[in-house]
Amino acid sequence: MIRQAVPLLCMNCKEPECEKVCPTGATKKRPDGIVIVDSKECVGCRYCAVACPYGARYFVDEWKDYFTGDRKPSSAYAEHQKKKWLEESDRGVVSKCNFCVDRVEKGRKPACVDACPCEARTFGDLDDPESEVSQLIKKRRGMQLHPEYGTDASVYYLPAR
Amino acid sequence: MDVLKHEDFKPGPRAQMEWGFGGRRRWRDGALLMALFLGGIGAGQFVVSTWFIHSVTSALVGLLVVVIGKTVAHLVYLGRPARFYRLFLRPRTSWISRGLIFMMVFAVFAAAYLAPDIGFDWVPWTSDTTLGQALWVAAVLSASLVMVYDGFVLASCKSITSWNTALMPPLFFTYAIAGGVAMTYLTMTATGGEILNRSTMTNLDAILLTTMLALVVIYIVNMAASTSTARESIRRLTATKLAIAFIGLAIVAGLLVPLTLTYYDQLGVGGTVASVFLAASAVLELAGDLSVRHSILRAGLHAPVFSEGL
Repeated sequence: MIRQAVPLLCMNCKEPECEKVCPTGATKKRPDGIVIVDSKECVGCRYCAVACPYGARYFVDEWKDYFTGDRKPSSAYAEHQKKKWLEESDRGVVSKCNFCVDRVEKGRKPACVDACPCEARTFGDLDDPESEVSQLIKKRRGMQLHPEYGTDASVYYLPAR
Repeated sequence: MDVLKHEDFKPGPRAQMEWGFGGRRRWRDGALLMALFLGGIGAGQFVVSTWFIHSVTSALVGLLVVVIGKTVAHLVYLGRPARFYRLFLRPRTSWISRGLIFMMVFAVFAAAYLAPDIGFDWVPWTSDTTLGQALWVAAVLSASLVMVYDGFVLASCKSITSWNTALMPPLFFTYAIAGGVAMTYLTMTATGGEILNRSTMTNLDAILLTTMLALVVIYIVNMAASTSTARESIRRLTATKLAIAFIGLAIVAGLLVPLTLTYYDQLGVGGTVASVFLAASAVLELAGDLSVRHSILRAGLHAPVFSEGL
């Protein structure tokens, strides 16, 4: 028996289920393929969270203490954290990984890709057959999760060598 | 954001936690369940009241259950209720948009149809005129869409196998009509109104209850022969705490008991069933309707993200 850590993130599908079911149009697919949620248009109905096959979405509801899980802060730092969160967060809406779109627009890679010390993550243009990601998928027979749903995920997993 | 719990890291089927009582936010997640329930029984009550009983009072109650009850429940559920008007913007692909548009259309036509009988006698139609009848047809058609759309909302979720079945829309539709019969009976009993065509209502109720029982059995058998995730959903419905709601309340109390009473009343063996028992039967039917919707929502499992062998 082996234990393997496998990251799960938003697949930024080419045929996203979340975009289809969203009643407000808050979930949109950009021309570059990244699926974003406009927090100013989301009403928090969570249809997307239910429809997503990958569990990529979460509902930003209320602040809870990281350690105790309570609504009451357990320390002075937690109180400060709560105050900042209430000021800056998009409460009552759904959020998800967006491939760090702000960084991507500036030509940088998503934070998780830069942070990974093992270079286990590669980010690039799937439409370019010569790109590193396309080559890796081709050579290492990368696979999508649940292709039978027709979502055509943009995230591929490479089998262990 | 919720603190991650250990089950978030387990492989295997993952319960949907956003809709229905017992989700992440407990009672507030149940507001959507109430919205779907009230929409179904309210629209059903309007159809039954205008088609079979010709009771304005009961039809008005049905309309108000949809317009006020369903709307308030939806607003309580939303994370940002002030933006509710945005829910109507994507009928091309979203069943929630479509359903709310159906609800609006139903409210307009139903209100217009009932208007001359509830004090607005200056309108240029009555329920007997051609225009009045056209309004009624439009109201009944839109009510039917209100009754059926929540089945499509669930059926469109591909990754939840126990929902992604063509049985969802007819199951929810039949439950909504039956709920409408129950609500009509309770409203007429409460207001002391005479129930015209009582035998027709009882016959209709018997047919609906039998159909619902058949659909539930077909649903269970179908899911039991489906994917492992669907089989796990059935296991949770029948062999965990959820069985109290599904088998105890939805099937036994909500279907078998009312069915027995209805057939007893229909057959007239030993006299008709006392009104108080029929009223209790109607309450059980409504409780069964709510319970079956709750059970299906709670037993909705996403297929495992990772299949074996990764």
